[in-house]
Amino acid sequence: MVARAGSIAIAIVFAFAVGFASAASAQAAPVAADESDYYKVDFIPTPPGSVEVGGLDFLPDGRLVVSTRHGQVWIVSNPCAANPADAKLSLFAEGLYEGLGLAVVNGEICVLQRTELSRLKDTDGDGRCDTIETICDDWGVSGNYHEFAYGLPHDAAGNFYVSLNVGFLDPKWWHGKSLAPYRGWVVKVGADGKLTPFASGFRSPNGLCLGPDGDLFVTDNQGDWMPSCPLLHVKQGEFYGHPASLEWTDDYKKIGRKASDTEPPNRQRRAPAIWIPYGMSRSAGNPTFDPSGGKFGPFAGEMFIAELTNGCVMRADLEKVEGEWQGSVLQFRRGTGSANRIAFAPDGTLIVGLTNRGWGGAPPADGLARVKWTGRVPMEMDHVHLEQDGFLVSFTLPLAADCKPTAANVHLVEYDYNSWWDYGSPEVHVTSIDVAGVEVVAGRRALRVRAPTLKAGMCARLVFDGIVGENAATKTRDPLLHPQVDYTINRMPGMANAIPVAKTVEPPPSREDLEEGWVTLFDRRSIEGFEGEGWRRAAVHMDPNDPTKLADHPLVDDWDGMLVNSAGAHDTFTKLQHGDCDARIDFMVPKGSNSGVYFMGRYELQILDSFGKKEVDFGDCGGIYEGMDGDHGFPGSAPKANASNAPGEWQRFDVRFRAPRFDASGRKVANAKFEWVKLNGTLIQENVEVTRPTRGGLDGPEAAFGPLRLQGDHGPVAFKKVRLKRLDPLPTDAVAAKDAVGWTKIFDGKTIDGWKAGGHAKWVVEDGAIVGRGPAGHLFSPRDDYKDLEQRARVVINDAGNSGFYFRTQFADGFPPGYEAQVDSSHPDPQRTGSLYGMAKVTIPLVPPNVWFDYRVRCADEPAGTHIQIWVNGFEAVDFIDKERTYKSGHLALQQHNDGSEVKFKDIEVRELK
Amino acid sequence: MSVLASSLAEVLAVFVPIAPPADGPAVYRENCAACHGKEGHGDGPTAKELKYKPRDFREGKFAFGNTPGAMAKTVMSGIPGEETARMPAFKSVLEPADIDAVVAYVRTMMPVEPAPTATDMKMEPRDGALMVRGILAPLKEGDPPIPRGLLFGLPSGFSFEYATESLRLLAVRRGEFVTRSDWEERGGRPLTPLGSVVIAAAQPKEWAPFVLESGDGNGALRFAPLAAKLRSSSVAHGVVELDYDVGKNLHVRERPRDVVVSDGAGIVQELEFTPTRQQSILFSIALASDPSLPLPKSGEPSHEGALGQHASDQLEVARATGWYIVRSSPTATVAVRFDLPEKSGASVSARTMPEWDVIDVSLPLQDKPLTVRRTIVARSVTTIEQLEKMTKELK
Repeated sequence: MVARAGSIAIAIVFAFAVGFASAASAQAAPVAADESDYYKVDFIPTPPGSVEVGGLDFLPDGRLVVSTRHGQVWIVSNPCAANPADAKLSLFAEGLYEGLGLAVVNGEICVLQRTELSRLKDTDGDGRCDTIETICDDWGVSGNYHEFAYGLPHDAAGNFYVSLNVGFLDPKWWHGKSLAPYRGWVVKVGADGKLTPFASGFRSPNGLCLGPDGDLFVTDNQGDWMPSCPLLHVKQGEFYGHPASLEWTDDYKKIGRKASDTEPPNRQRRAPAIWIPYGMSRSAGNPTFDPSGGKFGPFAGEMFIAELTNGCVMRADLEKVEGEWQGSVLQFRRGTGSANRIAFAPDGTLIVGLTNRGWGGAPPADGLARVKWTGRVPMEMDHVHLEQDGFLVSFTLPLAADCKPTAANVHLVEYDYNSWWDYGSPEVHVTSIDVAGVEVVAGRRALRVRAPTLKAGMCARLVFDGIVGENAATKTRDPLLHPQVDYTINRMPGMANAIPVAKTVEPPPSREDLEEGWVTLFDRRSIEGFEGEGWRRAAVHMDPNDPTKLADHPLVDDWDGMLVNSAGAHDTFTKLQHGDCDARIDFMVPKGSNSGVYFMGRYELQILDSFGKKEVDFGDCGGIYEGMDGDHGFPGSAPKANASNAPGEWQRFDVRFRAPRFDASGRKVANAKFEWVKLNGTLIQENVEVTRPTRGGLDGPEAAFGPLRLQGDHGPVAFKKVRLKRLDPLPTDAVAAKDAVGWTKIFDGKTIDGWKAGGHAKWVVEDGAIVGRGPAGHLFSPRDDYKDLEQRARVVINDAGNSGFYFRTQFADGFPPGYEAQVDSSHPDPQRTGSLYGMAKVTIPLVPPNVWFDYRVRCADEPAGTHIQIWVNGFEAVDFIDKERTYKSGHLALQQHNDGSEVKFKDIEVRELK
Repeated sequence: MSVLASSLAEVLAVFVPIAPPADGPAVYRENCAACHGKEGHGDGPTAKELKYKPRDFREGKFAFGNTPGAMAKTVMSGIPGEETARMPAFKSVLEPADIDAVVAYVRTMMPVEPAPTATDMKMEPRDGALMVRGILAPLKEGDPPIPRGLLFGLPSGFSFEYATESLRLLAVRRGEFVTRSDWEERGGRPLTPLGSVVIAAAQPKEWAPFVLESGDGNGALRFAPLAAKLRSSSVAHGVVELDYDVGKNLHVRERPRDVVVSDGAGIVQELEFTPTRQQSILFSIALASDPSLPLPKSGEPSHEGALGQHASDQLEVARATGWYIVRSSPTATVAVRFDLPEKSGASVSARTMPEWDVIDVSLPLQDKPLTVRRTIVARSVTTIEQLEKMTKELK
């Protein structure tokens, strides 16, 4: 679903871009204008490869101080000299452990090293630092390579603000980890050196600054849980989205809870003030405000942001909507090199500190660039103000007299993002917004763009076309230099609560979800795979007020449900029966609670809150419970180790189970057996034969098949995915030999010559499979006289696709008469794979889309009617008697249901029954 | 304009491709070109079908790191994606040598940035002492790394390694100083000290350099490790000095310097303890040792026959010479002595563990400063007489 939305979004962007380009080329630009006409970039000569800038500030005498990732501090005299070669560097300190932040406080140089915040002193007056005072080193460093510390804004009270990168491990480096205290946090260091954890949820928060009114702004970098690079307004105690940092919050620490790599945390995320689109920023550096009062051109007091990958400086325009910052971001000046740190010199020169090593960035990769205003005012958007029904966009120059923009000169789209573990997110739900009108206002200094359908929870991208300003001073006509602005609408005016632009969505499927051979009995969407009183689909967590209970929290969407028992519930049973199987079961119990999983309804694998217990027996989590008839029964099997997670944490059973075996007379010849059980990845049971049903097992004699059963009457419990995979028969099983013979291939993997297509579907052979695409149609087998048979095939259906595996059917161009084993994992038609269409329904998706599965059908006339069975990956989904004997004989056929569906069949075989 | 042009030209002049290794291009053609294009322009035949466009290597932009190590990691593990990977993992397809070769080849397509040479990365204390911070690899394999390492290098060729989170002396080295190998890759790599280890202090978890001694009320002693906190480190005027707090009520100023005797060398640590209240602490060092090795005895070579209880032998040697002896190998000995102010009430004791010896000074601290000098010398001491000679030399 996600991929579809994403690709549609991109298609719209492309179409839009093409449209814009043609519109622009139709209109001649009044004058050639380039960023360099307004802002010049030059470079101070620095030792090659050496000055990888991590911090910038100025001494009271105007000299520039630069800290670098090489752990050096350089002092630059004449940093703003007309000729950059007149700026001279001298080494003040070396041997520091990186220096990704620097501040001059009361004339003294403070440097943020990876491991400490330090004050550098030259006590013997030789111009070199000889004494390092440690201001604070109270944050953790595990030794992971990516544990950078970034800074270093400081406020009037002497507080410093420092942000701490999470660690990245190998091989799953895309899951950021908080391996030591306060990784993933912004911390405050008081003038006395005391550290206060300030705010959490950061990933790679490379840039910080304080605004003129003391607001703290931090940039983070796209990656896991950061769909794009955000500009965050950081407030004490708030959480900004990356879950790893939560491990240092009190409620996680109390129970030793670990942050999930893939599950969205159940915690209020504070929305960024601005999402910077990927096209503009891929690795953000620090923001800073222009304090020059006009020496840097028309943007006095506004925010600029450094950008490494694209090698530029961006501009942000913030406004308060209902008391909270939000706003827009624009391109400002390219060609600066990998801009990591920016700072304004007293004369209004913007100093740009470069670094690239390992982080990726446009060349030059190190050194110092300078951006100076030429004195000519560019035609730029100055402020972008959100109104109830559109934007009021003011410009730095008045519109030229002959510039008469209409709605056609404004292209407006909106988009939002996915918040998930994956690395970044595409812009999704990209939609064109109608511009109802454009009005020139404020003495030609602004445009009011009316777009009444704008809404919160989206970013709006405005692209102007054909806007020209008029500069009376230079007597030039200046086209709008940067026609694009992206505005993050957390709130529309008047809205109290923000709607986040990054939406919590279903985590992308893991590799495990895409493994073949499994059936999903609970997929978090529907509990219809189970039957039992008192169970519901809900989203729950351990109740913080009463940890012995589970408390509901709102379901985010349709994918995040859990199977939960209510008070007074009974046990619940799968509708499917299983025998030999692998099982993967995700469960969670609150403090002290008790539940269990009965394989075949009879053999219980115990679930209990056994967290922290030193000695465990069969009654503890992962124990196989004792038999029901005292001394004569099964004695139970204790887990080899206590591998329990804390109550409230999700846990996982991985099980390989063998059903009991019976001879032809029905006498049991082999006991049920747990070949192995793993709890949270730890092997806790191995080759345990269960001689008799365990206590509470189903009545009646042991059998070859039975339902999976979840205990619901002992205490609160929740389950996430419940999945089974049928095992191949043992070599000793009679069925194995019997099943292997008598099959006839009716498709050789190469040609469909002899098959007959009805309708308009396109059938082709690709990679040994028959592939159906296009409009509705059916492909009929060469033979039309099949009657009692078994048929099987390997099948895969795409997301939202629909197909069918027909038998006893007659040729037709429309939908043919005949029995249909449905193929459908996520089509709007709720009859899913495994259904006998229209006669016996399966309403849960046993197999996910885009994953090959084994499909098998048996159809035979019997005294009671036509007996039809359908198996999905070896599990019997339907066992149905058609008393009407609706269809007598005919072709076997494959369905292509509708345009957009794509189905593949291979290894199609038939075994006729005598 | 001309200034701008010339400085840009200077910057651009260094982006010269380097020669590819032999098999990189073949690996590239087979595995990468389909998406990244024959020449790495991101325009291979399958590129247009991909949602996330393959990199054009000419841009030099690598969101997952542009160092050889980071790029190899990306090739090995791929880039994850919502449904299918954005870039597949090649770990199971390519041999490590292939990955290195293809990374080297791809690096010829990107702008090459100047990297510091091994000489640039070396620090040499010529004019005075230098200090360097960084991660230190453990001296003993299997021990954890020391993320907060602090090295002092002296013009004499000695260097001292400390862990700042505990203010533990880790090692004394002699030779060249250090290579800042943390400049490689993205950072986070350990420093590479260049000198050979003269003295190695053990890092047992159970051992803390400062321990508070107190009575438990029943006549027995209780011990609690005291946290040490660095306040400043200095090499002003060529003198190495560490200032730190130990617990809440003690400030320590430590001045380590090198010492050379006729057949040995090591460190003298002068420690000035300034307590703000009365307390008794243990000040300890643990040195790697092999307790099966014998200690020296008067007039006879030490290798002739082991002595009995190691710790009590330690005390015996110390009574005779003032030196505690730790046998770290059959040929090397570390001798430790303390010079304590008279009537300080301080006492020295030794403990022997399976792999290290711990030498403790119990310091009853009043409310006035007290200075302790600890000398640790590595040498091939063999007899009591030689120890006595060393004492004279040091005086």
